[in-house]
Amino acid sequence: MTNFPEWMKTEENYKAVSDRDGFVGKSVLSVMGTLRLLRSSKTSYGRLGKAFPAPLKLVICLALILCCSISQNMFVTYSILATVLIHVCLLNSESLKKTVSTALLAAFISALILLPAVFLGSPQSMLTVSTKVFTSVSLIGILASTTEWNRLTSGLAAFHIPGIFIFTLDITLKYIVILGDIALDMLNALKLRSVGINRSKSSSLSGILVVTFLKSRQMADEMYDAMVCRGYGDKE
Amino acid sequence: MHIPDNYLSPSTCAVMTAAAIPAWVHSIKKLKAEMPKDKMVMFGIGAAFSFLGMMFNIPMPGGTTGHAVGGTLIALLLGPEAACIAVTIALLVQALLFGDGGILAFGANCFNMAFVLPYVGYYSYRMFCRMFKADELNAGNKKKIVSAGLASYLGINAAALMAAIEFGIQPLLFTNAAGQPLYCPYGLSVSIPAMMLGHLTIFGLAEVIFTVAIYSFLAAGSSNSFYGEENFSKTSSTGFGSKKAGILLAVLMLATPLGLLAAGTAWGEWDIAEIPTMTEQFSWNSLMPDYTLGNLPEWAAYILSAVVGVSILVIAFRLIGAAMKSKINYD
Repeated sequence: MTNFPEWMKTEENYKAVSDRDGFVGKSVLSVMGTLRLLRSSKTSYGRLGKAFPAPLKLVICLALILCCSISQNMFVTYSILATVLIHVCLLNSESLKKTVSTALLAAFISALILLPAVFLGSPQSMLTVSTKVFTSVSLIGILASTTEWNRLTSGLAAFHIPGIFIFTLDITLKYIVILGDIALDMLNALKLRSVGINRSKSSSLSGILVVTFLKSRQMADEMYDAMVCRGYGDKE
Repeated sequence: MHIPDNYLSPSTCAVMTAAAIPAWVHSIKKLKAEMPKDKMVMFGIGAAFSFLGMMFNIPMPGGTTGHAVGGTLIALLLGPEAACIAVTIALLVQALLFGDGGILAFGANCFNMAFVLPYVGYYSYRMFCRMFKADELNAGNKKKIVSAGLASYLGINAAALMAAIEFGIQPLLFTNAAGQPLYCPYGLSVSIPAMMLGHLTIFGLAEVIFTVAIYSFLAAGSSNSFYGEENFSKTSSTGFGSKKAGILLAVLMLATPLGLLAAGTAWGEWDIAEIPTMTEQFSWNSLMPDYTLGNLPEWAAYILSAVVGVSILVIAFRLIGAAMKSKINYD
């Protein structure tokens, strides 16, 4: 038959030694989760979203959080909690899962933090504060999942927040997605291209962030050029 | 360090917001006056970068990971005023869209992380640079890297101290008629060691690694990217593995037990002897009377608990239903 070179005939028995690259995976997951949340905010815009204009929703949400925080009477907190829970029931399942898991996590963490207080003579703190935290976080969750973020930022304009602030906020939200994609691609490349133990992995992480930063500078320049091309002048 | 709602009283939140407003006004004014117009766009993109920076998990000694705030780094790259605005926006996005950090506590969070952190970081960086005489061109980047590391460590700890003080004054100022705290129940003697222990060790270290790694990488790779240094030289440094940065980390790691010397006992590590109230006052009975709904008519309490109960059931079933569906989502 054909003459294979010797090295081709030997059996391959290389086994990659696993490396401590948990931080790459963790970073990938958290960046991906954020991007998913920001992207899905468009699709989970349901019935509830159209009921009120965004500024009004923001005000109601703020007022409810304030009431919840000020109240020394658990009745107010429980009433708000009941309202919030009804709203949560009406969300679509994706946003429901998101809202409930965020709020439960926040409540659980604050219960944990406040656990020592039970033994320090103020046992009611744990339940009151955790309930209030759960209510506030769910309120924000409902607001975020029933309102598109561009409506939310235009809602801020109703409060006379300076234009530059809102402009910046809009760019931020847009570029979190764009830069996040870039960072994610690089993180995936790092994960795919290194097999076995690779000591320079952790320094590559700073490289990824630096490239993201340099990319962001370049994009800022490009965006400014595009704005000038479309008639943006020095006047506000 | 994101303070959620209901840990601080609304009046504390109002005071902290009032304290943060001058910082915002100063930053916006200074930026409008000094920044060239083409850098305006950079705030938003800088904010996006600082938001993403918080998503990255930095590998730490001992196999754990931690994430940094990165306020000092942004201040070194874009200037403290731009960092103030960028971190504020990043915090706003976190509070509004992700429920991370409270809405009422937004002013307090901004004061700690968007004002104290970048300003302390930036000015202590300048101070360290002067101390090590790193301003001279020949002094090289290593001194600057060490300064940046130390400054970021100071910055995050200053911010943590502010947060701890805000927590700690709550039980002193706000109690109900029975003398029980309404908001955060821990006094200064507990909240300061509890916050500082974490920030003097793990979080401070994460911040230093984050700042030093990116700062030295940028210094090695690209010139002219630092605030206030038009002709930043790119000759002397050799990327990540700067020896002095290593020494700095070692010193900080050795210094971490200092956190143990801070007054009081660490969070949650009280002995029985330190809890005098445990035997006398502690009883589970005291939990419940506060949760009966006061002098409310019985029917109202009844309806409320019915609504809460039914809602929780519906949510639970919907969650189970969502979990039963195919786990792979191909869209």
